[in-house]
Amino acid sequence: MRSTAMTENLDSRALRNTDCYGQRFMKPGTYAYALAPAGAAGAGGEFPYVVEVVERAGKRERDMQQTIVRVRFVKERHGECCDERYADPGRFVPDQERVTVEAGDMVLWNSPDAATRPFVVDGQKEFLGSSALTNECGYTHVFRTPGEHEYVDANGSGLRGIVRVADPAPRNAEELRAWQARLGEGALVMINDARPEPAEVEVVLGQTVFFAVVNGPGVTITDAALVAGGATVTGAA
Amino acid sequence: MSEIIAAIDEAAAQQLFDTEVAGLGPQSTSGSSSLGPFSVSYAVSGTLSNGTVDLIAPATIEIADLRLDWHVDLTFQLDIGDFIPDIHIPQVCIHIPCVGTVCTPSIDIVWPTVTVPVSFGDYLLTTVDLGVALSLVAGVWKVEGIVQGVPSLQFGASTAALLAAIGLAVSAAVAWVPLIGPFLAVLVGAVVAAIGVAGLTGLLGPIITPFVSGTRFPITEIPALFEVLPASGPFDPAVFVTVDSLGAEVQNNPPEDELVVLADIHP
Repeated sequence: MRSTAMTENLDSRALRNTDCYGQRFMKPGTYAYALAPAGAAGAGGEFPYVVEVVERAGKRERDMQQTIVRVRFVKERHGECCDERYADPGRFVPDQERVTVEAGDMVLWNSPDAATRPFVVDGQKEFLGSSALTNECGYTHVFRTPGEHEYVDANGSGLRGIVRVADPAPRNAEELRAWQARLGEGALVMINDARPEPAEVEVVLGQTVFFAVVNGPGVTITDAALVAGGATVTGAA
Repeated sequence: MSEIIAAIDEAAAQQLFDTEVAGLGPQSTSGSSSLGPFSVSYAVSGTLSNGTVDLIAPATIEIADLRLDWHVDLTFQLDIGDFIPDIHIPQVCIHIPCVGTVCTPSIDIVWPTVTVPVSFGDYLLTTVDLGVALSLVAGVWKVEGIVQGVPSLQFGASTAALLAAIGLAVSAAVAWVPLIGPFLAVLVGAVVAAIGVAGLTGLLGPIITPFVSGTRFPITEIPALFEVLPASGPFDPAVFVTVDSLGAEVQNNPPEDELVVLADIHP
């Protein structure tokens, strides 16, 4: 029976369908990456997928563009890809194995499927990866459980913040509609050198919080309860 | 011609019944059935007790206020999406200073199917009529009272209490489901309404009635080779008669009603 305690699954190291990882690419180049099961970042191996960043066309000013890469988990036969009728093993695949963007643009990874297992984006270059958010990147999360959610950096930078999620408790259809209308609004937390601003935010159930990392030592956004005793957190405020 | 007659009055019949019903012990069964729109698996047990014997000529043994304590464990699968709409979280855009606008894709939250276990017990009182059954099995005549027909069991307040228990069970079973909070009251109300009193009686009646209907209460046993005089010495052996047939009826022998067993015998 599925009757586990309600968990928020707030963890940039384990992306689910209610999460996105975004990375802005500032310099032209070829950036290879892998999509790996949560916990397998940095395990080595191949980086089969590519973000190709080209020079910005012309000198004109333009808004940052965004490309969404959809990730699915595909079960496969041993040695043969990719028949979903067969059980493990499997692999994560993007809907585009190679995306091309202009310098300054952002690529956003998300799985549309709730059944997809948690995964990480693991770049060949150090700055690219959802389990070590370094610069010009971000993690978004839809909060689905009410309460106070404390997050920390599982990599030990001392990053710490709180998201308070209010239960709208609608009493009638009108209040239910009002709550659903708010789901299109997001909250922003800017993280600079492992300091969140604001350190505490309040949202309602189902709203999205954007954790935008301007620069930092390679942090995670991880539910404090998932980091054993907060032991890996140092210098916590 | 009947040549042996045995009779018991209501007081003796009551004493006999009390002893027999106490010896029945709990009965149990399990299976699957329907609970309103749900398919359920169940395990149910029941224990009979009490009951007041009333002998009514010419052929009725009525047991009034026969008590059945019952307990049922139900399990059913609840597809939450059948009762409340899936949630669509729209695209969310936010402006990040010095960067630009970032938008998430829209996200559909699909409700899961959960298993709902429900455990509930109560008791009911019913009145049944017993018929007398006679049978010769392995050289022994058996006289038994058998519940006649299918009694109409009245669950009364049990159904309301069980519906409430189902509501609580649904709440507990879906508590882990993310985003369910705003929909919980609607979901519980919808599930309880879908089951309703009719759904409960439709489930409980057929699975609990057999604990009463057809129940056999032994009254007495008579060996077909019946000893009428015990042996009193090596040259004076026991005397037996053969019981050829039995009859039973309720007779009004003022001031008592009596259950009378009649035996045809031959030496």
